[in-house]
Amino acid sequence: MEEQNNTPQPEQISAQPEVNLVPAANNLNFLGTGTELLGITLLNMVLSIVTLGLYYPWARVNRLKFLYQNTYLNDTPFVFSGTGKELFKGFVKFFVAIIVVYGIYIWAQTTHDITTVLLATLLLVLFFACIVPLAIHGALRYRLSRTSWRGIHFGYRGDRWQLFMDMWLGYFLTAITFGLYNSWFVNKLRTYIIGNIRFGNVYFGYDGEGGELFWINFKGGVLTFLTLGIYYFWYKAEFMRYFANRTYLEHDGKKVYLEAHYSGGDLFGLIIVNLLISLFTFGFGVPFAEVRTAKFMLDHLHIPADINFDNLAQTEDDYSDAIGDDVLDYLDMGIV
Amino acid sequence: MNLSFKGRYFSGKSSTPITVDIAWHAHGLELIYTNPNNEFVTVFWNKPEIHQTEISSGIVTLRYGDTFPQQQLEVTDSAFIALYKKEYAVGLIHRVKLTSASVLIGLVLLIGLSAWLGYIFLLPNIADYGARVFPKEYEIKLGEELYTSVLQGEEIDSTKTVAINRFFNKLNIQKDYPVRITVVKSPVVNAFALPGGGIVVYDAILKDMKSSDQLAALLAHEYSHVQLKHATRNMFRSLAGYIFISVVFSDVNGIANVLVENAHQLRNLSYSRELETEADNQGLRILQNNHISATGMKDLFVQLKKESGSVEVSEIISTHPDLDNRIKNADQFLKSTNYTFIPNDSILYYFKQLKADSTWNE
Repeated sequence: MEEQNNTPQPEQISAQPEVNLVPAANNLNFLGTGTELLGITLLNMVLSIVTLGLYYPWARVNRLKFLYQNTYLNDTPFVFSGTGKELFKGFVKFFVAIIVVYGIYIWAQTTHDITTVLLATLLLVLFFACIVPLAIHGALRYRLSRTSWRGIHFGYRGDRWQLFMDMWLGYFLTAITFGLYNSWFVNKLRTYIIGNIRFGNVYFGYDGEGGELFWINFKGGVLTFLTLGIYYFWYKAEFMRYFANRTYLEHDGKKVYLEAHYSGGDLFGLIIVNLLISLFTFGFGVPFAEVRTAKFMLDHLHIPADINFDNLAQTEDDYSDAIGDDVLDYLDMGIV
Repeated sequence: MNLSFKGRYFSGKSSTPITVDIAWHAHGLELIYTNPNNEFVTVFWNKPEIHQTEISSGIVTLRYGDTFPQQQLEVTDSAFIALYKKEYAVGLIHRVKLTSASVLIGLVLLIGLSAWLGYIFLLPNIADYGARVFPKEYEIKLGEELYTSVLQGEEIDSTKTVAINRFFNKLNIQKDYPVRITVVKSPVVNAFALPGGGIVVYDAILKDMKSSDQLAALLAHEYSHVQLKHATRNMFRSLAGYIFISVVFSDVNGIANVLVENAHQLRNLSYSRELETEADNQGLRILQNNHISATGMKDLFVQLKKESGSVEVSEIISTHPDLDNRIKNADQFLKSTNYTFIPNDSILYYFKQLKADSTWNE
């Protein structure tokens, strides 16, 4: 980069930095179209077939880039700057580990020795039980470090072993309380994870309470059962609202909560129509359903104007290990 | 070139947007703006270090430099985007107009075509190669595992099992695999071979056999499946098929399920006509080499054809819809070859033993 100060020249005077005061509102929008996503999906399929699947990491990057680039905060799209190469490296590492663990498991089966079989099974279970918290940590680190807006990067500052211990304690307490603790567990995990997210010098936080979440789950479960499932949409909407409305951003000494307006009726309409679109197009309509969902999620979510996104500062470091992202994808756990 | 455009520049240190004039040069972009102290600032981006992050919805986002954090530039001017696409290396995804109907239809057809070609030509060959290089010891080991699981819950006729194994040994077939035959009590007319030498015969198929040659033909046919690695090839094929489908739909965790599911499919082994014919021909050659009358093969098919009309619709028949062709094939073999068959007393002895037992499963 070469930077130099010149004397002003007449025709360049117009180039002024935009000095925005606090904007009227912070708008979140999704501007992508189903046709575009269909095109990307089809191209990804062709290349995956032709390369016998090796294109998979690049296909995922194409999709993510589309989703990010069409998500606008005010007038600027988000950027996903991860690469297929990074994901491919994570993919290879993870599959080597999987092959080794499964290899040991299959080998153990052929020995017909009960101790060996039990030990190998234990190894397999432990491998997956341990990999989940570690993968969540890795995926958050990678995905958020590759997410940016106006060049300002997100970041995750959580501690790997802290999350690991919290999750194991959570599993344990959930198990011995026959699932009752689950609401507190989910709440605690969310508090920890969101509390460690940064967006430049914006701090994220979550202050939901396990007891409140428990009642939402309890009421939702009972009413869903009594209404033969119809209440599910209203339950789900309340759940989503609770998470969003208890999530806050802190910047410049101001603290604002997200404002979510998901209603059960809207969610019902979204899901039913998406289902119909997917069914009647033999799956080719799925990208359109996905775009509808993205629009729905963002249209009903607002960030109050008190946060000025025009003066964020860069604070986060680079992080390039994508292995966690692949693990979660393999386990079919979407987190971001 | 002396072209200039407007854009928005971000320093990588703050999110404050800066409106810049972009001067297009052959070796890079020159960005010019005035800072808050009213001084002119020029930033030069060298072409090799300019990275494009995405072009979408009429906006191109560029990043500069290889060190973190990078500077960023957004341009919405369509003339700039067109020029950029022309002069800079742009990924395939941005060169194809993915929203045009003809491109979308073309892609759908291309998917169909490549999936079909891959499924028909590529997969079977890769799978067959895999089955060929799969070591014999592992095949036998795998076969033993499958044998145990397939026979679980079946009622084994141990007397007939002993007799049929002795019968097979007296055929003096040259074997590459340790053959182990089990007779299972079942009203279904069926027999199948597993990888590595396991053969399962349901006793209903023995019930209507008239001659030892028929049984010799059946066992020669099943053994041919083993010898020609048909079961192993089939397993590799269906495994490859599942993986292929998982890949097409980017469903990675599907691959793990495939490994589990596959073990349960062996009970319903069915071969393509091509493989059945291969096993028939190999079986006929085995009979010829061991001086056993090949009419047994023809008689076997005639018997199976008769039974296909009965109430018990068996697996072996439902998967062999071309019995007429197979009868013809055996006929042709009988006519074209001429060899003396030597009566084998021990075969007859064990065949009688098999038939003598009257505890047929009705």
